[in-house]
Amino acid sequence: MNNDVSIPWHAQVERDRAVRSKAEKARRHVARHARLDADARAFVIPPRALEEMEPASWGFSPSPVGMRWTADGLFTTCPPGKPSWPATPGLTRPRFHDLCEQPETSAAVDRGDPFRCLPQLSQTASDCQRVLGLLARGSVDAQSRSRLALHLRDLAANLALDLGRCRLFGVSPEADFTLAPRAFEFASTRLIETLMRVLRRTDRVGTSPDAALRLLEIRTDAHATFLALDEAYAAARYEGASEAPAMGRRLHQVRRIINLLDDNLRNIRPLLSSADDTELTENWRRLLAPEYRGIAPWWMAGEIE
Amino acid sequence: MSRLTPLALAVAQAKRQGRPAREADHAMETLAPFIQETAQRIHGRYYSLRRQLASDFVSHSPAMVWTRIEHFEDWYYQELPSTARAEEAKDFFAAWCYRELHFRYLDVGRVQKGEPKTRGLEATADVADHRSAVDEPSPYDFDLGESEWQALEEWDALDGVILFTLAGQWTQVPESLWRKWMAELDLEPPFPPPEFVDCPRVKRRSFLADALGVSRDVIFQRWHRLKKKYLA
Repeated sequence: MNNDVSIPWHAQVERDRAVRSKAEKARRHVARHARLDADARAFVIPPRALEEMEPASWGFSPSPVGMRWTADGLFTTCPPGKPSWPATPGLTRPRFHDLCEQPETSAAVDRGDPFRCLPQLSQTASDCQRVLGLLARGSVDAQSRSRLALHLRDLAANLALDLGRCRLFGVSPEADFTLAPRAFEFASTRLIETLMRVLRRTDRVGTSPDAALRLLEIRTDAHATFLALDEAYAAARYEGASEAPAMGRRLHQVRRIINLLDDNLRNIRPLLSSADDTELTENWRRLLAPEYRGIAPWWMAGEIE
Repeated sequence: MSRLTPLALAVAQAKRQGRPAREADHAMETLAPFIQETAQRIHGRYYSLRRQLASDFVSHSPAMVWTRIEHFEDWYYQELPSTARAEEAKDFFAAWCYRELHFRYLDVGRVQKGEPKTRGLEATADVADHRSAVDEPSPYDFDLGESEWQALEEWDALDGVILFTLAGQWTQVPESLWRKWMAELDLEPPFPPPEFVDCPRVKRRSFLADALGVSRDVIFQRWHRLKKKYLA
C-alpha cells in the first residue's frame, strides 16, 4: 500500500509525513499515559485516558485489562509477525559489532517490543527505499529530484531515531544494520538543526507542563539518535573509512549541543518534575535495554523527581 | 595497520620495559586526544554521570588508559585472533580503548549510584579523613645511594627533572648534572623557580608541564612510572 505506484510521489511524501506524525503522536500518548504490562509485553491504557482518540485508528485494541497498544494500522508496511525491511543501499550497512563487544547472552529474556520500535523502523526503511528508487530513475526532473532529496534527509533522520530507539530499548531487529556515512550525515545535520531550534526555545517554556514533557521527549529522542550515530561512527572509525574524521567532528558538535540542552534542562528541573504526574520517566526506565538500566540517563534516573 | 595501533603498541612496550622513551611520550600525546574523544563518546552513550564527574572522567581518560596500556599488548597478541590482526586497516586500539574506558565509566557510574543524593552538613563528621598525618614520613623523602647517583648520569633529562622536581628533591642532584639537564631542556636557572616552590602541591604538575612545554599527561605518565620504579 505504501509503495502504491498509482499515487504521485509528492502525495506519497505527504502521506509519509502524515503517517509518521500520527505514529509519533500515538507513541507520545502511550509513553505518557499508558502502563507497561510486563506479562502482556504491551502498553495498556485505561479507555478514559484515550481522550478524543478513536482507539482503533490510533493502534489500540481492547484487552481484559484495558486498551492495549499494538500500533496496528499505524504503520502501512507492517506484515504479520516479525517485520523485516528492504535494503537501503547507501544509507545502511551490515550491523557493526565492536570487536570487544560482549556477545548477547542467549538466555536474555525476550521482552517483546511494547513500544513498537520495530514496525516503525520497518516503515521508515521502506520509505527510504522507495525514495532512493525514485531518485535512481532518470525520468525524475531536477526540481522533483531536489524535493525528494530533501525528503530523503528527513527519512534518514527518522531512520537514525528509529534505529537508536531499538538500541536504547533493547529491541533486536532480525535483519540488523548500522547507518552508513551518508545517513549519518543527513541524520546528524537534522539533529543539530532540531536541537538548535529547541535551545532557542527552552527559555520560553514558561510554566507549561506539556512543554516540559515535550522537552524531555526531545531529549530522549536525541539520546536515541546519538546511539545510532555513534555506532555508525564506530564502524567507520574501526574500518578506517575516509569519512571517519569528519564524522568524529560532527559527533563532537552533536555532543556539545546536547550538553547545552542538558544545562538548560537542569535549569528548569522543577518544571520538568511535572513528568512525575505522568508515567513517562517510569515507562522509559522500564523499557531501557538491560545494559542501560543500571546506569540510566540522568533525566530517567530520578534527577528530576 | 591503522595509525593508532602501532603507536599504542609502542607505548605499551616502552612502559612494560620501564625504559625512558621520549617516543612513547610523543606517541601518548598523539593518542591522548583520541582517548578523550572515546571517553566523550562513552559518556554520550549513557549521559548518566553528573557534569563534573563526566568532565573528570574525560580529562583523566588518558591517564586511565596509560595505567592499563600494557594490557593492550597482551590483548593484541594473545586474545586477538591472528586472522583479525592480519586486517591491517582495522583500528584495534580504538576497540580496546573503548572497552577499557567503558568499564571505567560503568565503575564510576556505580559509585555515583551508590552515593546518597544529598548529604547534610552534619554527615560530614562521619567521612573518614584520608589525608596523611602531619608527622607521617613522606614517600617523597628519599636518599639515593652512591651507585644510584652515578646511574643518574645516564638518565633521560626529562625523567630526572620531573622526578626530582615533583618529589621536591632537586637539591640532592649534583649541581653539574642539574645544570646539564637544564641545558638539555632549555630551562633557565633557577629551576624550579620560586613560583613553583610557592604554588600548592596540586598545581605543581600543571606548572611543571607548562615550564617543560609538555602536556600534563606526559608529566603524569612519567611521574607515575618513575615513582613506581624509584620511590616504591
